[in-house]
Amino acid sequence: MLDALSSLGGGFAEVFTLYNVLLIFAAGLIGTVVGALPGLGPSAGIALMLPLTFGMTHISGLCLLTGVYMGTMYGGRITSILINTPGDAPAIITAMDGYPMMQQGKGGLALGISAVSSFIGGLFGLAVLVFFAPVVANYAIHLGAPEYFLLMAVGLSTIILLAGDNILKALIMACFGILIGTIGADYVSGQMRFIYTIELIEGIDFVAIIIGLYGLGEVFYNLEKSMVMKLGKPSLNLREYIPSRAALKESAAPTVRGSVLGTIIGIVPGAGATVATFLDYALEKRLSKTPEKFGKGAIAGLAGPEATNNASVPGSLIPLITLGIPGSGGTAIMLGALIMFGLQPGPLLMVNSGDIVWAMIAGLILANLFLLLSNVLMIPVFVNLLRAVQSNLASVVIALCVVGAFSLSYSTFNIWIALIFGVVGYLMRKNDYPTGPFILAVVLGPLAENYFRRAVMMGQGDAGIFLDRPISLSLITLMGLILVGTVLAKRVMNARRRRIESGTD
Amino acid sequence: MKWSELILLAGLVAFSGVLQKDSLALDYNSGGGFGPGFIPLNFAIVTILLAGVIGTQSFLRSKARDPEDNDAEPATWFASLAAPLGTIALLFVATFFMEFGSVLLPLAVVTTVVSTVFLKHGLAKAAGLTVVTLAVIYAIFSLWLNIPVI
Repeated sequence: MLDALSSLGGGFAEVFTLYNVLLIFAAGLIGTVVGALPGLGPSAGIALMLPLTFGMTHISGLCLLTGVYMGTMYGGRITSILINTPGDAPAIITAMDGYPMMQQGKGGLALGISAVSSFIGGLFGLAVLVFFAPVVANYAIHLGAPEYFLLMAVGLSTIILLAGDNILKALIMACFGILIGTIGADYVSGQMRFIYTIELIEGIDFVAIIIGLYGLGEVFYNLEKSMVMKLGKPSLNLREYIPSRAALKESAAPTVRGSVLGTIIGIVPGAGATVATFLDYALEKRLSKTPEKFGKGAIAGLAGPEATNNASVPGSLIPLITLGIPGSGGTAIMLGALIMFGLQPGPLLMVNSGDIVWAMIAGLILANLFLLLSNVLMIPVFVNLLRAVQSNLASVVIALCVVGAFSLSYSTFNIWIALIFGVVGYLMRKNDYPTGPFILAVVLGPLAENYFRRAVMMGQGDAGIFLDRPISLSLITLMGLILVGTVLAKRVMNARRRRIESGTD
Repeated sequence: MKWSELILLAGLVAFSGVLQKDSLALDYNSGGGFGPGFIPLNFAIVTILLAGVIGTQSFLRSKARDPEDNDAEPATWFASLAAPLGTIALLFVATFFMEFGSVLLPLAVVTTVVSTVFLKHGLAKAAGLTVVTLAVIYAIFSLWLNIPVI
C-alpha cells in the first residue's frame, strides 16, 4: 500500500507543472461540453483530442485524454437534467429523476448533487485503481506468448458484451476490424500485406480511423437527424447549485453504494457504465423506503447512478492498465493511444512505464477535483458554451477532424482515410452496427495475431501449447465464463431494464 | 432491407473479396506455424459469409415487416439525406483540392457551405463562424503545436 502511495506521489510530482495543471483543467471542461452534447460521447471526445497530443509529452498527452474521458462522464448529466436529453448512454438514467427535479424548480440542486456524487464515485474508483492495479500487475508479469495471445483473446471475447442486440453484426464488425489490422508490414515475417499505396506500409493509422468513425461519422448522422437543443437561460445564483446539508445526507448512502457497484462493474470488461447505472437504479429503488418517489425526482435515484457512472471509468482502466484488456469503446481508444505513444500495454506496462502510468492516474485525480469545482461553480458557463457550440457543432467538428487527420502525417492521405471511415461510421450508426467491436478488433487484432503465431511457432505447430500451462488454462476458462456469463447476464439486465423503463420495478 | 445497410454490406464484401484474393499470394503456413496469409484469408472468408447471413436475415425481416416501405425507400432516402450526402461530397471535393497546398482554404469553403446550406445560418454568421473556428484551429495546431497547417 505504501509503495502505491509513494508511486502516486511520484506521479503527482510529474504532473504538477503549470502547463499540465492547465491542460487537465481544460481537458475537463472540453470533456464536460463534449459529454453534454447528444451524439458525442467519450469515444468521440478522445478521438477529437488525439491529434492535439502529438506535440506533447506522453504524460501531458495522457492527462489530456483521460481528463476528457472523465469530463464526458460529468457532462452527460447536464443535458439529461436540463432538457431530458442524455448527452451519452450512461446519462439516460440520470434523466429519470434529474429532469423531474428540474421541472419542480430544483434543477440547480439536481446539478449540484449529481456533481458531488460524480466526484465521490470517481474518487472511490480512483482509490481502487491506485491500490488494486499494482497487485494485478505483480501477478501478471510472468506471462509468455501463449498467455499474451489468450489475454488478447479474452479482450476480443468482450466483443460479445459490446454487441448490442445483434451478435452477428458485432462479429462482422470485429472481422472487418481484424482485416483492417492485417494491412501493412507483417510483424512476424516482415512480409508486406495489401500495400496498395506506399503510405500503407505501416498500416492504416488508428487515429485516422477513429477520427472518421467517431468524428465525421457522428457529424453525418447528426446532420441527417437535425438535432437541436433548447437549453433555456441558466440561473447565475450560485446558491442554487450548492446542495444543502440535508440533501447531501440523503444522497450519501446511495452515492457510496453507487461508487462500489460502479467500480466493480467497471472492472468487468465490456459491462460498462450504462449497464452499471441501470443496475444501481434498480438497487436503489429496491432499497428505498419510498420507491414510489423514483421517477418523480428522488435524490437517491439521481445520486446513486451518477456515482456509479463516474466510478466505472477508473474501474475500467484497471484491466486496461494491468492486462491490456479494454472493455469499452472508450478504453479501446485509450489502448490505441497508449500504443501510439510507443508504450506496450499489458502486464509489463506498470513495470516498464510506471512513471507515465502513475502520472496519468495523478492527472485523473486532479481532473476529478477540477471537475467537481467546475461542475458546481461553472454550470452557467457550460450551458452558454453548449448553446454556442450546439448550433454550429457540425462545422466545428468537421474542421477539427480534417485538420486532425492532416496532422497525422502532414499529408492528405489520412484525410482520405478519415473520410472513408466517416462514411463507414455513418452507415454503421444508421443501421445499428456497433463500433466498439470494430475498434477493439483494430487495436487488439494485430497484437493477437502476432502472439498467436509466435505461440504456435514456440509449440512447433502444436496447439497444445495453449493448454499445457496453468495460466493459459485459467485464461481459456475465463474467456469461456465471459462468453457464457455475459449472454446470461445480458438477458437478465435487458429484462430488468425493460421493467425499469416501464416503471414496474 | 435498408439501402444504406445494403451499401455497407456490399462494401464489406468487396473489401473482404479483394483481401481474400490477394491473401492467396501470401504464405498460409511457414516454419512450423502459420504464415502471413492465415489470418486475412480466413477472416475475409468469415466476413463474406457473415455479410451473406446478415443480409439474408435483414432482407427476410424487412419483407415480413412491411414490403411497401422497402419498395418506396430509395426515393425518400435521397430526399432525407441531402445534408449528410452533400457534406460527404463536399468533403471529398475539398480534400482533392487540398492536394494543391492549402488545407484551411478548402476547409473554409466546406464549413461555410455546411453552415449556410445545411445548418440554415445566414452567410455573415456562417463566414464569421468559419473565421473564428479556423483561427482557433490555426492557433492550436500551427502556433502552439507547431504542426504546419496552412
